[in-house]
Amino acid sequence: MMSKVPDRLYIDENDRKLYDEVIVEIFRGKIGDEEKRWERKDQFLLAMAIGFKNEVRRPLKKKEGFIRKEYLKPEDKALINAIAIYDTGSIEVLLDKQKVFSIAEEYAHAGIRILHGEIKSGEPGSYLKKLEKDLFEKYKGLKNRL
Amino acid sequence: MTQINERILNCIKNICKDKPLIAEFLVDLIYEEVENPGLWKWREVYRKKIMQFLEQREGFNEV
Amino acid sequence: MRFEKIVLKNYRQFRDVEITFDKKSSNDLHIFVGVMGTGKTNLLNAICWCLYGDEPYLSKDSQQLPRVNLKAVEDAKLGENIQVCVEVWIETEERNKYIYRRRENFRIYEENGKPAPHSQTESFEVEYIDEEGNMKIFGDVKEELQSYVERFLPKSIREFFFFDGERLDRYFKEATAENVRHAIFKISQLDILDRVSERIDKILSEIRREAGKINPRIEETREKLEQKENALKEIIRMIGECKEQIKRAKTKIEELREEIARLPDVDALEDERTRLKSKYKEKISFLNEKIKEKRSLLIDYSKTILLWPAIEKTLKIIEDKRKNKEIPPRINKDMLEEILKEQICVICGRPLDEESKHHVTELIKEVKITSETVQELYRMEEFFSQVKEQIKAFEDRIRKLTEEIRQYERDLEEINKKISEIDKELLGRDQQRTRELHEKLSYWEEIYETNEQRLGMLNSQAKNLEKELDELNKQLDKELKMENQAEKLKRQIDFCKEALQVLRKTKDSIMTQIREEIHRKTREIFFNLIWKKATFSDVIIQPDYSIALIHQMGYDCLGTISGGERETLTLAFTLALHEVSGFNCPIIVDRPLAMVSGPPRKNIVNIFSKVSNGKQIILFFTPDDYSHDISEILERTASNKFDLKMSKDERETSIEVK
Repeated sequence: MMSKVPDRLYIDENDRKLYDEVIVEIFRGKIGDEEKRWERKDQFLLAMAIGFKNEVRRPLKKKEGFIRKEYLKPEDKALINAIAIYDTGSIEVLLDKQKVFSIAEEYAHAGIRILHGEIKSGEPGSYLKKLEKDLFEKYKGLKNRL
Repeated sequence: MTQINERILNCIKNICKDKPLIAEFLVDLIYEEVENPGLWKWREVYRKKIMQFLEQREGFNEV
Repeated sequence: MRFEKIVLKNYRQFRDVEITFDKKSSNDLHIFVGVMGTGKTNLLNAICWCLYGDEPYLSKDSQQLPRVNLKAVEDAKLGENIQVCVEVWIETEERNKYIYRRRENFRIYEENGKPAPHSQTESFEVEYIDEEGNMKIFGDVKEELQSYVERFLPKSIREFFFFDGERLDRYFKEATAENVRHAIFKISQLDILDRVSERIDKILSEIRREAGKINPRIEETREKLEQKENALKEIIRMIGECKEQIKRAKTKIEELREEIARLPDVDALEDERTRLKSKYKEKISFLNEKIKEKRSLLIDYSKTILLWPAIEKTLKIIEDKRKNKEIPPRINKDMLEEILKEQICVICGRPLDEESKHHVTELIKEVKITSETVQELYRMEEFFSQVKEQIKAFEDRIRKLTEEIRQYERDLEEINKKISEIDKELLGRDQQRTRELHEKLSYWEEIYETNEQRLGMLNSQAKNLEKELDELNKQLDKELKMENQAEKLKRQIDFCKEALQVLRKTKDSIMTQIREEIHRKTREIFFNLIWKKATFSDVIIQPDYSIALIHQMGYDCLGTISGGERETLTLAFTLALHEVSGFNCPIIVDRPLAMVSGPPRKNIVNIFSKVSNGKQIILFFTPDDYSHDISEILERTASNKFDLKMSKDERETSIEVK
């Protein structure tokens, strides 16, 4: 029996400012309404991936809605599900969508701090270079397992 | 500048491979510092976390 | 990043000066030549005042003078306001501009019959212009503004961007290990560890005090411990002060000279130049598109590559479930229903017999009873299989885009070069230079000697105290163990001590990692730059942060090398710091040849020319330093040469561009 599906992904209310600052750095260029939602979702997923990479999760102190679930594509849901499966070690977690979202939110909450910190401690525009370097390193590690 | 960076997090984790609770404790404090710039009631929070992690450790018998 | 322009209004000798650092070739090298007193060092002070609000390189004479230009003060009426303004324009690698502007208003009063300027207000603002010309001004929150400075040129490590020739020479002569350790600590950005350590330490003291209240004997030991700890902190503070004095022990004496130079103004645009400019604009727009494309690709890939462990595990779980028959095989439900409806197999075209009909019906039931979760897993599996293929293509796709971006950048450089060549042809050369005076240098050797001795004494006192503290700690532990009531507190104390130890180890480990990176880079860069490659075999940064330069014969020759070789090593170390810290900032050197004589002078300037192909280098010379052989080398590659010219009444310096 599946639990009630949450209608949105939440962030901690203190993180909104961080997302706004990160958006300037990474997602330059014109930001229209549609693009803004797209970029928020990508930001969240990036923050989540960074939290996961660093194996840090933090519970949210004061929740605030951030992305409505309608904006999540199947690929995005697949990644969120994969994290929950990895974390709990079993696919049964997929029956509890609240838990699945909550795990993603906690990784994103920890990850946005790291992302913000890494960005702010370097020259503007330098984060993407660092990200490219990190990705190449990770890629070399998993190339043989593909 | 008070920022988190991945190097610090990874280093703490490596040093505390057999003592994950201490790592968790320190990462928690680092996050608290970054989330609370300026004046804040750090003593309360630090004390609370020390007690919390001690209890956890005694519960799991981490050496 | 690089400096694009500096604008000075009423700042010290500079009444109304605008310096533009056009990059006319692949070498971002800019030369200033001026007699002492014309304000070369004050240009450096201007940059520091604008960015940080201080002027750390003021000569003794300048320290006595107000910041506002004296001629402007003389020309002003009583009660009039004069504004000092310095603007520093920074251009990032992505062609965005940050304009830093500091203004200070002075009002003219009368004192002893003479006009005297008094500072009234000061303001600081930051403007940002993106590659499309959109502008935004930041002027509200002080900390936020300062962060826009810190991200390019953090104040704590500015000594590694701006320095004088003396320092270049002396860097590895005095307090070497401390210089290196200080540099590495600053770029490691470990403040947060110090902050947490400090606070845990405070809590540890408090808990010990609580334990002391339970038993007077514990209290006595705890008090002794606290006293010794405070004594040690004080000694560490004094050691810090001592080291600062040692570092600061130098002064310069400047003499005034005159230099006259005349340069024709550059002008004129030709059709070719206009066409090239427009081609340049077009290429920039293509380049930006490619950069955006690469950025999107990196963001997309970051989600899948960083999450690969989770993806891999999910695929494995699905595979295992399938092997264990926990997941039914994938069957297309629609196809089955069509087969049943048409009563014909859609694969082989055979009509269904009774047995086949039954089989198909059973299969449909299986599919019907597959849960939503399993369907979700199938969707995930399909998507992740595509992800796998995409990741395989990661390297090629990124490399291709990177190459395309580089090609556009090469094209842009080529176009710029052509534009410069056109400009050069239009330039008239009509220069005249005069030789000038000498400059005097002096520094505080006596202060240096005294502080060195004191440092040795303090270090030994610190060592003794540490020993005593160790013993007191053991004694306190013993006493706490014996006192049952203090058991709980003792556990908290042990926990804090353990945490502090981890923090210490973390700091040491990170410092070591960075030290090793800097060591590797310094060695690489030094051997790339040095002209006597066969003389030296290695550069080493020891675990205690001291530097050794190993001669081919196997001994450390750091103390015996020439000024030029020492400067090269310092420059290599500085460039390594820049690279490892991630701050790609310009280097400004005031009189790089001050401590170098003979043939190494040419080697040094060749090195700066070389380094300027990749980093902005700004060099200040006196006419004495800037001899003919030196100017020959530098002017082959320099993008700009500026002559500083002082007015007859010595109240104003103007800058003329060659």
